[in-house]
Amino acid sequence: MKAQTSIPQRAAAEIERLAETRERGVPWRKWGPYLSERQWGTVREDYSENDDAWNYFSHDQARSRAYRWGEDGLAGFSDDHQRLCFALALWNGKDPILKERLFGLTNSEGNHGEDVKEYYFYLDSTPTHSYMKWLYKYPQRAYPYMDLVETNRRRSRNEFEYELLDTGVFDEDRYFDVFVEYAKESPEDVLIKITVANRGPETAVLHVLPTLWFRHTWFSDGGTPKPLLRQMEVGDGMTVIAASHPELGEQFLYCEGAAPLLFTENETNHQRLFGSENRTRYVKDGINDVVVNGGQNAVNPEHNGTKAAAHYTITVPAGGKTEIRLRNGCRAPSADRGGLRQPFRRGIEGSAK
Amino acid sequence: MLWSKQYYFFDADKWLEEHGVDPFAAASRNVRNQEWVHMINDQVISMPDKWEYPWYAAWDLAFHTIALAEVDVDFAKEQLELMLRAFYLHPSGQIPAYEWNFGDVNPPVHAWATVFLYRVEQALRGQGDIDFMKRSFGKLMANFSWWVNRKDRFGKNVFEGDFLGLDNIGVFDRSASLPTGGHLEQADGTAWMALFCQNMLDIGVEIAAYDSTYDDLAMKFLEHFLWIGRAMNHVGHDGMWDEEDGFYYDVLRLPDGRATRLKVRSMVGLLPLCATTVIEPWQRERVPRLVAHFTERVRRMPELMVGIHPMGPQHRGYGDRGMFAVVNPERLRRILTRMLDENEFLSPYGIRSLSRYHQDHPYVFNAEGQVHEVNYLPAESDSGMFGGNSNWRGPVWMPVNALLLRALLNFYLYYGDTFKIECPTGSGRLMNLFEVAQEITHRLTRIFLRNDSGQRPVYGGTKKFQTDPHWKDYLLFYEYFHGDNGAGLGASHQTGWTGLVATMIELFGRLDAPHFLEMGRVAAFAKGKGN
Repeated sequence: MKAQTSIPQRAAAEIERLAETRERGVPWRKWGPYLSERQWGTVREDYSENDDAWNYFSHDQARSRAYRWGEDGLAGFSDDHQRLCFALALWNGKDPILKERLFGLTNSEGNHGEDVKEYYFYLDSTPTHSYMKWLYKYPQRAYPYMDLVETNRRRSRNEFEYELLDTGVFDEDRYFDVFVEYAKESPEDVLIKITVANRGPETAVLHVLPTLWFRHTWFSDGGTPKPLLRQMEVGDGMTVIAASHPELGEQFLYCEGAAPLLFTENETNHQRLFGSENRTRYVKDGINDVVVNGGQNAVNPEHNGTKAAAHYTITVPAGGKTEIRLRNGCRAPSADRGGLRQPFRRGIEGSAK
Repeated sequence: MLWSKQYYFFDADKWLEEHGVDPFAAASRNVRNQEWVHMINDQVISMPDKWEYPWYAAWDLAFHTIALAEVDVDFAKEQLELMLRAFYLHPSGQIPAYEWNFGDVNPPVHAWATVFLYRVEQALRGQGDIDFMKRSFGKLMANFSWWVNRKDRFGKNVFEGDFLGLDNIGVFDRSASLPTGGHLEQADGTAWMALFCQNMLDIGVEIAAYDSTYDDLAMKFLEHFLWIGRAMNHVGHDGMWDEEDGFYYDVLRLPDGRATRLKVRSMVGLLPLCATTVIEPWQRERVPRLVAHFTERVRRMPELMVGIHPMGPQHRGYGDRGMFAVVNPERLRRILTRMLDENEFLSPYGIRSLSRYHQDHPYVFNAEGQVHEVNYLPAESDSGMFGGNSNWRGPVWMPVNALLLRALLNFYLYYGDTFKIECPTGSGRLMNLFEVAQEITHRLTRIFLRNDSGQRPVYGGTKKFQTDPHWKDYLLFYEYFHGDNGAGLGASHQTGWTGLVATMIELFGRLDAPHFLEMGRVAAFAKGKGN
């Protein structure tokens, strides 16, 4: 134990959390970065006749098609059985789709096989995920989806890969640095801070959509009962999404400010993908359609569903930055009067950062 | 790398049913993984890369646990045990490889990781988890038997194992049937099995201090090590060792009985070095029956000692230590001479997967009128073998470098300063094997550090990453690295085994040679020297 006195206090706090986990079963590990970054194109989602996992379920389909075996997202966070998922969606006002997941080439598209074409960084994490930090660089210009696919497809194995930087989309530093930090106030009370920095020469607008959804577990063949997300009115300058899940109990996502909430279902859009009738009124890409194409028909006016997002539209001056604070956990609104700023500061300090 | 954890869900029975396959029917549609119907995976697992490899891979995972143990030995242990649970491990004893084909064969490094984690915890908490060792030992016995019964085709103690994690390293696709017919005796497969024996012996000896029945159980692995060592060092035109080149090669056995060595100088030939484990005197004292059995075995079959590193009472090293190693001192020196040659394996950024000798001297093999060629390719693969995004024909790979470092440290504990070698070859600088390990680590860490011109080799010629303040200090952990300039290649978030570099930095930052030599292996695990 002698050596521990020299370890910084924050690390000592994390060692304590590890000991609580091991000795008393305190669920410090229950929430963590347990989402995948790519569920499409995997063997488990492949129901093709010819074992063609990469092409059976494509990136283009992923925003519209419900997964069977797991979920993916940006800076993804979930419980340890991935029942309730949290991740970030972004839109620069130029892309044809929301940025809900990392884009990359499939095995046959890349000149050296599959390759993610994004810049994202894991900046920090403690072992119990009591503190985590992540960074994604999102271009302000339209993301060059087609250019990446077509140029790489033309290149041979003996040539360099055509990377996102090579496309010129980052020229003049016209991009946002999007930082996401998680800090646990307690094992089931997670503070989330999103910091958007505009590295470009001009003021730019970014749509930020912190998104909460359930992994699709309510299949007709013996799945669990269907969970529910719904809007709760709390006032206090924030909006709340309440999540009821038969195994998780009640969870609440608190969103700073009066961002509108959008609700849809984590269900396949059969109409878009296969030209057949949808089985549910609202589908997985409903939020995408409302944000990108406008209108309100694709999201549920009743403000409930199995996938929901708070829609922040922020204007960030050149060289400036904007913060958004959220909080997710089992603490019910009535018990919470602390707002979001104070506990976040405490949470960060109490963690190993 | 803590960010690379992912919830992984796969219920094979349900999945197969949804694919219209009845795994219990006599004949059914050919759908992958149908022989893995027992699987129910429903846990958080450390992934190699959550975009490029968002599924677990058994041998990657074993390396992940070594790096994870730096900060969270409990999670690391849990991960190793997971693969041995009945919902993962095949009833036959095979460890699942990865979802593309759970039945593929990965190098058996699970036992090595098990004993490593045990010692980490022992150093951290003063007490190792003997129950963890017992549970693992039992399951790993099943896994060992699977290897022996499935991958030693003719009971000759030489092993196949298909590509064994090293994708395109061979002359042929080692997972497909050979264009020549016949089969391969793989130097790497056989070396991995020798290491597996040593690790099991290590585990067994540890448990024997608490439960003497393990004295007998461990004996099996001592014996097996001797069989494998003998087979591997068989001298002659059809053995793996090539006396002229001073190197181990795969042997191709043709249907007509002829045999030929495939003379590719690659990691396959360096891996026999890795089957090296030093034995402390206190370990011998724990297993008197095993020691007596060894003496008797060798008295009756002295030929077993031919080729392997000398062992037994007349061959004690520093501190009365003994040595289990496939490679004897002469061969060690000959292999190291190549490994430490900058024109062969020693790159400025670690040990290459293929000798640069093949840049000017491609290995060419004619089979049935078809020419197969192996060239030195320091960057990406030029073929589609194994998906084409991994390349073992030149680049530097962290996991095998870590195992070579482990071997050098074990040899050092035996030889101390009595074994010195020129490093780099031809430089005139003599080093003991600790210093050699240090030198290789120094080269590996250089991949990530700024060099004299302020550039990080990992980012190669990408200007933005080299100069922009909002980019240049964000490090990515690539899958492998250019064999000549250290640039990152392949998957960009392969934190898992590339994260081993953290373990190396920590280890060599802390350890000094004389202290290590005195204290032995325990010193490698004890943080805070001297307490």
